[in-house]
Amino acid sequence: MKRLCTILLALMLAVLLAVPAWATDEDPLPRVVDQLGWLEAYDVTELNGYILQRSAEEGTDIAILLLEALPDGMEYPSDYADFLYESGSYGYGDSRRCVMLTVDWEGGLLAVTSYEGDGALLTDAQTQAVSDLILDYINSDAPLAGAFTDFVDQVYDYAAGRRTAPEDEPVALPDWYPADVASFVDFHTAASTPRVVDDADLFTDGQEAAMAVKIAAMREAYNMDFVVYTSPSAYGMEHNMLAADFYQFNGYGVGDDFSGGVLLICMDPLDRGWFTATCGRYMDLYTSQANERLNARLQPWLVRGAEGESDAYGQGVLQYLDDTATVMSGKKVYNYTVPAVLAVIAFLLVGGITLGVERHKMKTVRQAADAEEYLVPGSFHLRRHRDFYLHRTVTRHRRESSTKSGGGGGGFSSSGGRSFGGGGGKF
Amino acid sequence: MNSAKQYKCPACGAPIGFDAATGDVTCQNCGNAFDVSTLETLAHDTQSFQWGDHLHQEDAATMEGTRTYQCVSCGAQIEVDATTAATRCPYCDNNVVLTDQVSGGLRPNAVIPFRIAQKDLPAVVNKFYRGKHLLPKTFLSQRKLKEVQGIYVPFWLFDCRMDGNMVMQGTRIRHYREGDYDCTETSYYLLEREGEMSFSRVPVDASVKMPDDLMDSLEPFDYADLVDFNDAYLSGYLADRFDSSPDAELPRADRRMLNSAVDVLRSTAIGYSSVTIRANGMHISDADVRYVLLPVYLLNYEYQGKIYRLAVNGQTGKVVGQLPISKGRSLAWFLGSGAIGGLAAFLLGMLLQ
Repeated sequence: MKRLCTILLALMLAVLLAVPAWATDEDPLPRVVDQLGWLEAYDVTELNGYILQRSAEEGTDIAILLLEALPDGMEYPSDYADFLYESGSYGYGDSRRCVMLTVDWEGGLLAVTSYEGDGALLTDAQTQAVSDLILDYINSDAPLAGAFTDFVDQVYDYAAGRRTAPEDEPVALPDWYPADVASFVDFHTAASTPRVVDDADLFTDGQEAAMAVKIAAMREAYNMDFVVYTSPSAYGMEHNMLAADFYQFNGYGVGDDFSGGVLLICMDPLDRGWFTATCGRYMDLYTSQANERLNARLQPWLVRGAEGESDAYGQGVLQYLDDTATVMSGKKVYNYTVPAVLAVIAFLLVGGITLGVERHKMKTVRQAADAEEYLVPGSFHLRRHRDFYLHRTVTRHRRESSTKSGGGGGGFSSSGGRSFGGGGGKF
Repeated sequence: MNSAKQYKCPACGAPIGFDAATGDVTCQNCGNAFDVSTLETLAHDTQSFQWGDHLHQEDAATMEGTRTYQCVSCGAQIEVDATTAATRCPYCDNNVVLTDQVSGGLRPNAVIPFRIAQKDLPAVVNKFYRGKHLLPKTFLSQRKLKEVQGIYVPFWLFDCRMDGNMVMQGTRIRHYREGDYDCTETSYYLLEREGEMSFSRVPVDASVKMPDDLMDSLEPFDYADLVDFNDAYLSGYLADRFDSSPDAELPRADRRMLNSAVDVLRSTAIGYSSVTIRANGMHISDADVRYVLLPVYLLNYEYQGKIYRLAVNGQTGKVVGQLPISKGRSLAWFLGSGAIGGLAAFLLGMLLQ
């Protein structure tokens, strides 16, 4: 019954509101739908009126939909919000600016969606902030009527730029970042400049010295540069951009094409990971296969380091530098872990299966299970065969995006406009 | 006193027996060979087994205990199982056919004569040992052959029609992408099939003392060699009459035919990702049976205090049985084959990088 009511409501909204709400002087649409009884009737009326008044002032529509369940076929509250928005039910002005709060009580889900033309009115951080506002109210004993008024106020503040979401506040850039990227001119830093920049303080002095020796040997043998950079923060940047910018803006690289690479280990508590950015000739040598192998060998060390094992970061990077030298020499870097695991599995499987087959041959006495060879050829007559369709089920799984590790040889441009390749992962 | 028959050479009077190698009855004394049908003209029996008529002939008393016969050759009293149809006199070692066990309603409808001669058994069995890698190294040298018996084992050959219907559930699975989602669509179908098929000469051994699985494992027999029963074929071999009725053994044949019928009907459900049987209404009808004797050698070996039994299909030479397993060789085989597999996997893993 509840589901039926929800479906009817959805249909009613979709049909009645085929004409955009803002196109009419008299707006029949409720901006607050409370199937959950969270608000008193008086509060619903008040809140509805408040939204209509503010939407005219701010040029942005808001809808608050508190639903017992979503209509059949819809998995997420955002699906329902998209459906209503696309059907023309909500939106203000030519660009149909709108923010919708949708709660699916049965599914235990809440979604804040914002629209402006083909894009989103609010940033991710702003959306997160207003969602957290409602969740905080729900998880506390405070009256919910106040929550939705605050929600409306915050949405309009964000939309008008009167308020900044915490995560939207500008992040301080690292010291080495040029003040004016547009006017930055490439340069070659001195060979004596340190090639191990351990800002996150992951390595011992001895490890740093050993790394410097290896890097100097690589530079001499292969005429390519390499830098190890550890950072305590991502500075609000993607790892690949942070690594590439560090490499470019500090003048690393050999030759006109600035051949070489940088290994970034980012220890940002919210964005921990690593990335190898490659430039010039090293881009060609650092194939996606090489990236995969180096990452597979480095990641376990980083994980052990993150778990508190002393020296693990340094040992992992020292091994990584050996692998890097191999890649720079044009040789293959082998990952022995996967073949070893395969070998153990194959050992047990092949040994077990062949032993089973041999044991089977030692006992050839078995009860007969069928009489297939005594079936008279041509005697089978199929008198009737009918196939009835019954029903069908559809299961959907959101496709996984690579998050844990990976990367590859994909190219990108640094903030300074130089081409880089490489890959990385998270730990 | 029950009746016994002994075939003697018309030329020299010495005892004679069926020779599997030539298919004739031969005299070991003077070397003359005689056609089986010629010898049987002496005592031709036209009556044979009919299903339904046998019940009054095989009351429990006739199939239990022992029977006593008088050896035609030496006159000694021979005591045998109630189901024995042919044996050797323990005193003069002559072949004796107990004719009352294979006459009248107990007379088999047909017999497949031995094609494998006893002298060829070592070669046949040694061939069976080939490729048995877990056989203990000392088995071939230390085993002791305790007993070899060439025996005609009673079998029922059932002819049946299998008729009925089956209800199955079939699924068809389709994978596709929809935006950011991988979708799997499973369509369900109810499948009805109704049909009939016939089975011919499904063998089931009719001897209680013969292990069912051992006899099943000896299949198949080539029915092209089936000939009308003639007790001259039994001369020189052991033979048993049936001691389990067709009605008692029919369920075994029924179970086998039912499994095959289900497979046949299920094979008509084409185009489905999976098929599950929901209901099965197959049943047999028009059942008929023939009583036949089929040739089997039984060999008992003793090895390290344990008896191992092999059975040989006396027509095709197929050998079945259970052999001892060496623990050492099992471990070596596991480690050796596992190491090869592991090494191959490791090299493949390295090669694919």
